[in-house]
Amino acid sequence: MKTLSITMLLMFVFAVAWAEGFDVHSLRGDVALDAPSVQTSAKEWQEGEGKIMRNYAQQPPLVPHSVEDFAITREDNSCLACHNWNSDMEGATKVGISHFVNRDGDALARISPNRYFCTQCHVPQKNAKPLVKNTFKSLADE
Amino acid sequence: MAISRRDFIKSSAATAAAASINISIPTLAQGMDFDAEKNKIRWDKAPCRFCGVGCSVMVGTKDNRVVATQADPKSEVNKGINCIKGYFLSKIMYGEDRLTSPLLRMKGGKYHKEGKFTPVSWDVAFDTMAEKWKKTLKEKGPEAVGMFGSGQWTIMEGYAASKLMKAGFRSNNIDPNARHCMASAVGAFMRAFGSDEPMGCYDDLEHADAFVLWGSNMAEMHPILWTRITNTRLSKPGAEVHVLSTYEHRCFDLGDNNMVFTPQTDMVILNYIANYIVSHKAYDQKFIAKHVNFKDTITDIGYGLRPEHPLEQKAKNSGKGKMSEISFKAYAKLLKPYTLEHAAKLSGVPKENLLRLAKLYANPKKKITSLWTMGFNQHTRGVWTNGLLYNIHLLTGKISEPGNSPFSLTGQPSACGTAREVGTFSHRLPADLVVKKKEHRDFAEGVWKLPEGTIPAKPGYHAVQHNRMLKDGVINAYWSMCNNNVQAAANMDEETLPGYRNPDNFVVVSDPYPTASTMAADLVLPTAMWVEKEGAYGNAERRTQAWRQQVVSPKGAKSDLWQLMEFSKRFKVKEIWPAGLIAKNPKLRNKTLYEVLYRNGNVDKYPTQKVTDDNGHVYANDEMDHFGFYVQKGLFEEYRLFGTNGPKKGHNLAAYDQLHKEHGLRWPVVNGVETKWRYREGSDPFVPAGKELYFYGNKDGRANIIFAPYEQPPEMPDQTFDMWLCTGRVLEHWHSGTMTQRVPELYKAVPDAQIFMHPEDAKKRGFKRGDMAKVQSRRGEISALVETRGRNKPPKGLIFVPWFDARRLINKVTLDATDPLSKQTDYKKCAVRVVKV
Repeated sequence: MKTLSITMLLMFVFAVAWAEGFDVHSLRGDVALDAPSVQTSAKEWQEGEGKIMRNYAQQPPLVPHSVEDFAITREDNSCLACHNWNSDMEGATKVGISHFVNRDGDALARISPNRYFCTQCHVPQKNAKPLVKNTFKSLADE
Repeated sequence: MAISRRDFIKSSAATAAAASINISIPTLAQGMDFDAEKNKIRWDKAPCRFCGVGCSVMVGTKDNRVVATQADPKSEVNKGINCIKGYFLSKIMYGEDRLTSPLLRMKGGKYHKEGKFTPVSWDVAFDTMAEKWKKTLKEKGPEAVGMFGSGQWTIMEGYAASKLMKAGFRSNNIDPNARHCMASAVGAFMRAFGSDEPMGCYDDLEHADAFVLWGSNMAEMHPILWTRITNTRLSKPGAEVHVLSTYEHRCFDLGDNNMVFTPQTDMVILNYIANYIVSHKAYDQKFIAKHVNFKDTITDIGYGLRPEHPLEQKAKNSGKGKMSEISFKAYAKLLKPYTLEHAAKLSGVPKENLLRLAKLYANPKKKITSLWTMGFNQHTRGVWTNGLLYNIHLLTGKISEPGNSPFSLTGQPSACGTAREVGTFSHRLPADLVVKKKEHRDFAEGVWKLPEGTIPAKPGYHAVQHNRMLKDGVINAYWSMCNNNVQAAANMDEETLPGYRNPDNFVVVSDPYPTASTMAADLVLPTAMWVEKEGAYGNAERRTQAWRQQVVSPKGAKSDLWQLMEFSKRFKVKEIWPAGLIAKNPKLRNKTLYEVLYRNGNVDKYPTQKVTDDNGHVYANDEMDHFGFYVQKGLFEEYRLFGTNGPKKGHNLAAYDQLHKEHGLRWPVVNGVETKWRYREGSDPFVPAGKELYFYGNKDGRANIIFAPYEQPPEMPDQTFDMWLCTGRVLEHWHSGTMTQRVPELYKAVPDAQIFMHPEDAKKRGFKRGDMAKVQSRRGEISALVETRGRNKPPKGLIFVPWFDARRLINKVTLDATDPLSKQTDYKKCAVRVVKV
């Protein structure tokens, strides 16, 4: 009975709220535009949880670890130490064959210079709960 | 039979294991479903929804849903590569909070400014809107209605909107968000060349020997062009990259000559280089004699603030842009004070770096492509500064040929195609025409089959002025489409929000998602986006790219084009046009604006048809179904007349049907052939034979070298507000984050806007990395996390805060000062302090 009355009360509140309209929530949630910034806190990088599933075969893999200590400069690309095709680092996803072809379609001996800066396509993830659910349906779920 | 994800992983592992020991597992195939129909994805090209690079992507759809996106291997722009945002395009339409019903603020069953948002039908929404528009037009006239548009509108949407405002409501108060982004570039193109948009193209990125980035962080903002520059730098012997910025960023990783300069002193460095070239006689005498005029410009022109602001009161020539002819000798004399010592002192850049840069430009053997975007454009002397760079390329003749290219990059996917080329600015018409010239208005009215005098001659209010006029109650009926100006426009607390919430105003915001702008609106219209409609965009290298509708929008959401055309049905000419104008063509009296603007024999010329590709796939076109003719084609083909027949030559676009077959074409397109280098004989068909190079945008065929001095910015750090603030974007997020913050992978890559700060500045104020801090200016404040080790490394005395984060609106802090000529806001420099929360 108690459960029922709470349900009814909720339904009533909902009905009233609907009739009276509501506030449009943006990514700010219910924080008004003239209110102070929404509080947040520093987040850790997602790490040690294994590879992150792709949404579709053509998606570049996400990076399942922090890259803060890895630099890519003109002289050196530290990602390749583990991810180059000939690296023996276990568990590290190796650079795809597409990365050995340049703009003109030539197959190259080493990684193509236009793929040199890895972080333009491959990004690590913070431990953060998405603000809004995304209803994209992955073919992997079919 | 489908297999579960877990089984798939297992079986994939088994396959891999099997492959490694070279045996086959015959039973495996039975576990997978290779049914040809079920395994099929329909792939079709579309330009990326995000930046001005204009990459082409292949959109994979299945059962009316986008299931995958990948880079288009046939696109000249990106040749099979996307950036991280581009790869996640497939998810941007699927945020759970898509808007599907118009929402009107109501109290007691009717509209009320202080009411709560209530779902209403499209009819109620448009009826309420039309009533407000009619009342405003009747009581105050066309200058009291306004529209804020977008460089993310499709070309057809921008064109339809421009027609509705300029010819329908007869108001020039339409301006795009491109005002915040490209107006200074446009101003400088018109002053120097008499014609908007770059002479070069992306092919320059492979032809050049050296690249100079002026305040541009291409590694994050134009990632695919950066891959091309990286490719050239790393694979071409002798290639070099020079980077100038007010803070260190990812481009410095590739740079050979990295320079961090004090904000605004780019002007000093540019004049120093010109001075070096002139004093070392490194200019191209023949080129100058044949192709260049020298000019001086009026100075002390203010900062585009409200007229009562002390800085405007103090300025001798507030808002003026008059130029006067000078001699080469006089120009050389004006450059004299800009010595190496002076440039190094003001900019803070070591002399050897500046000298190396000057020598590079002066070297006749080096082909140089200079690139810039918001660093030059969002600048209170943006038009001047763009011009100072053209001066260097014109002095040395390094222009309009492969690799020699002053290249103004653009921010939005169709800032060029829609905002600039269609002319959705308050002073422009399509194809470089302007409202203040009668000849241009006459031509537009001719194409549109409207009586002489329909288009008002007086330019309307520009973007920044929109918000001021809303606050002052001068504009009362206002429609914002395809952008989020409450999060974008500077000085939100003092100008934008009071304007939107002014009780005298009715503000409509169309958007696919709830945003800061929809929160401030009175009516919200749910909008179809990207490939939920057919459209075309134009990128930074003059490339027009069309796409077909790939999926149907969520029920209830309608495209901007549908909204504009449906709304126009609610107005009769006799209700809103003056009698004198109607008398010139009495047949129009009882017609609706819809009939006059879109059923004029041009726009409705093409009947409904099946939209198909070469593989026989059939595509939806919701607007064609609804209106009963091929709307997009009709609008585009009418618009195209401005380029082919208009008074300003060289703006020819490809036919609509051809655009659907190609992976984009760069205008001018004549006889189906694109133009790579404008003004160059052999490449540009409009150059008269034998001229070699001809800047035909100007009557005499010459480009203008325009001297402009260094002038201070309106606000600089002082004792109270002791730091510079620079704002901008990050790679993973697009503009105000409406789309990308709803893609979990992009959100999790960069969940919060941070305060990028020098470690010593943080320490001095008692902050550790990861602490919350407040950023305050004279106008407002936000709080955010301090980042001292991130991808951006500011020098002491400067912070960088990106603007994508709706939860901390940095536009409360920024200053609404503009370039007085282009009216573009300077988002790159104002004075702030960083304090404890």
